[in-house]
Amino acid sequence: MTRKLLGNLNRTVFPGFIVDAVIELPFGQHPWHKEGYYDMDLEFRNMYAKMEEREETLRKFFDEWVYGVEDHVAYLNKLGFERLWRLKAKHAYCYPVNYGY
Amino acid sequence: MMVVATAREIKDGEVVLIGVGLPLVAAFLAKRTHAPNAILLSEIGVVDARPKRLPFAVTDPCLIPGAAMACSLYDVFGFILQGGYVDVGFLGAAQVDKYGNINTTVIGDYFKPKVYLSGSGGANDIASLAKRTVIVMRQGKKRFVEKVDYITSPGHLTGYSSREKQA
Repeated sequence: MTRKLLGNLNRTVFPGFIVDAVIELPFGQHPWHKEGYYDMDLEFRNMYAKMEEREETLRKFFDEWVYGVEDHVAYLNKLGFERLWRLKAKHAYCYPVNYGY
Repeated sequence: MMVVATAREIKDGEVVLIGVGLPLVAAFLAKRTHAPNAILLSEIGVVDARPKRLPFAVTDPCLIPGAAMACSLYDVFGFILQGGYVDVGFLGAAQVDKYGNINTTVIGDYFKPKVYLSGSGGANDIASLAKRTVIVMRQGKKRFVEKVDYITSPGHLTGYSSREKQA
């Protein structure tokens, strides 16, 4: 007899029939956080907030961080291992839920 | 100094609705000093937040681990605030008048404003429904007026009793 380990269905955000594709993108929400995966990058967000104030600095930001990187991997490499390791989430698990009846 | 004065407004064991900015820091301070049993609510839906570091904003992930409940904005403003469970709420203000009415909508005439402000957000709900409201702002002659240009969040409207306010 096989048993299937359930995902916590209270944490499902979209049902499968709505989803067209699933893409794995580590640190995809950088510089925002993703619970369980990485913390927010406050330093980067503050830097962007400053550059966002004027058009010329915003263009500089785009040139460096948007147009200047070939793809997501290049972006992560630009951020560097040390920073990503620092942002990587620690553990804060809750206890598993019993959906049995 | 404003943070300390604001923190003192939180009594131990109270249910506190914290907004962005300075009240967040004040609530953190209060919980770590004289009000360890205070229950901190964030408007986006975290109930009884117990952050291990100073939160950057109400969306900071440090508010989640250890919290009692992660609900939604509708829950916090719905069954919690409207249910009358919030003891104290903190608000900012661009203008405040002698009855504690807050203006965060416009400076000048409503239909031809001099300055557009950010609007109420959750402030009106909090001012109307929290058992106690604390207004945290930098005071000034132009900000403490006889009558606000627009009542965004009601204080005592045209009533008599005084309201606590921080400056």
